[in-house]
Amino acid sequence: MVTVSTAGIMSTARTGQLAVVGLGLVAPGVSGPADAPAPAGAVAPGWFEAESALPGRGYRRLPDACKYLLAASRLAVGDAGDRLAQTGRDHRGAAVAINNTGAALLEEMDHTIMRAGAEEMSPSSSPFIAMSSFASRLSMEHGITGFNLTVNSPVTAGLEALQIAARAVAAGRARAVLVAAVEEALSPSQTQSRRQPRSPVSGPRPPSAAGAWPPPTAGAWPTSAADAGPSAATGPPSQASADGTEAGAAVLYCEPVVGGYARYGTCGARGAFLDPESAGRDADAVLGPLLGDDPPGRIDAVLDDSAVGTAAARWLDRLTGGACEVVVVGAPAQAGCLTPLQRVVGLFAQEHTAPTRRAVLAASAMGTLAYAELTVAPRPAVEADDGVPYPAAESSGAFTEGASRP
Amino acid sequence: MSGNPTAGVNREDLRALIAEELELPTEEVTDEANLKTDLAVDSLTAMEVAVQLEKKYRIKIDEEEIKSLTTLATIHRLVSAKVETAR
Repeated sequence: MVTVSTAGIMSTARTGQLAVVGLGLVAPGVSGPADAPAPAGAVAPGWFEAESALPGRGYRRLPDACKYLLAASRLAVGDAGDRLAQTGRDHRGAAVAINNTGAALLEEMDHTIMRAGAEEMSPSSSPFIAMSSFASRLSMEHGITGFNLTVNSPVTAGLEALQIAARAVAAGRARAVLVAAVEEALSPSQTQSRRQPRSPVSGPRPPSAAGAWPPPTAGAWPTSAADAGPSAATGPPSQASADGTEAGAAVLYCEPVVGGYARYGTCGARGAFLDPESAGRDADAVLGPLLGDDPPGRIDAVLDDSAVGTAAARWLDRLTGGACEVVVVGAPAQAGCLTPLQRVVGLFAQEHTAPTRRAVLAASAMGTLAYAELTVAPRPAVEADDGVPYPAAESSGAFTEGASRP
Repeated sequence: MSGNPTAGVNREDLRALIAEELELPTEEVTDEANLKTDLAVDSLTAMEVAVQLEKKYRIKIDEEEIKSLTTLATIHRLVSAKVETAR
């Protein structure tokens, strides 16, 4: 087990591609991957029905966030049919992004120790003091013995998990990887403490910004007329709840592009570092190479109102005159990592008649950037009436990397 | 002092507690069902059972004793003896 904390990546790093076979999503107010960009529902007690999502024994005492993760992973694995079962345990891996997942739990444990003593702590939840335990439990659930990794970067961890998974697949460490992001709502006291104002945003707002700058924490800020599309114009489309916290889990079942089944398409991710002290000045030098000179048809950018987020938004604004639609999504106040990966799930769930390029950019106030490029496969129909979730790989005509792009 | 050390602990209460912790119907927790081999209890769940027994009956179960929590009958004897000693 390895815990990876990536504070900053000084240069752009490129990794391989992943084939996306299955999707799973559990979030308030969301019924499935196609709803991923929809406005988040309230993180209210009871939004997640554990007994129906996780029938059977052994789940009741798990922390809620672990239940979200397991439920979403079940959906993703089920969505991929029996492919995981056909993959040897040592060739299964998991990369799990976590930021605030254990915060409320740790606070609860602290209170238990202070009020009643350590002997009152639950043996079942105590292991989750270690944040890597969420990935461990996921691995136990699915017989994953190849590797599991936990990524803890604010905001960007979900996309970095994609990058790590692609690297592991390229190295031959796994033939199936569950890439996940999971977050849990903060406790009321934690939410209050994180509502302190950020440092002032430097520089003017982007010239074509329609609406207030900086973007509202739990809303979206469209940067082009094309954003009058479904994701940006129908209310606050951020995955952050009204109180600015995230809860839920997103999981992608991934395989190598070669020999795998790109049912939903392919993706890869890379990262860079934009120094907050010189973000405005360095944006072009950093974001240009990161995004490349052939932008996709749509970029979902998860940004906050920090100097880095502002610089990235202003830089992205130059793309809006072309064929690239930019959807700016307010990063959650808690700097959680669910929103960017949830966007990836949502973009893959969209149906297209031809291979379609999409991307998700995430930036943290500390300067870490992550960029995931997606090529969404043509997918006119996913669910078959006979109960078979998708055609067999060999006969599906599945999209493969290198197919023509629009 | 009672001549029967198990008289103070209601077996059906104990059965209900264990069934609750094992997430099983009470009828599956028979007197002689082996928690590990028959009811698929792992070490973590056994610890949960021990913690709940400690809370309910205000007793202390040592780590080594957790291994002896094999059936409802043995648990009943162990808990009853500890409750009796604590009186």
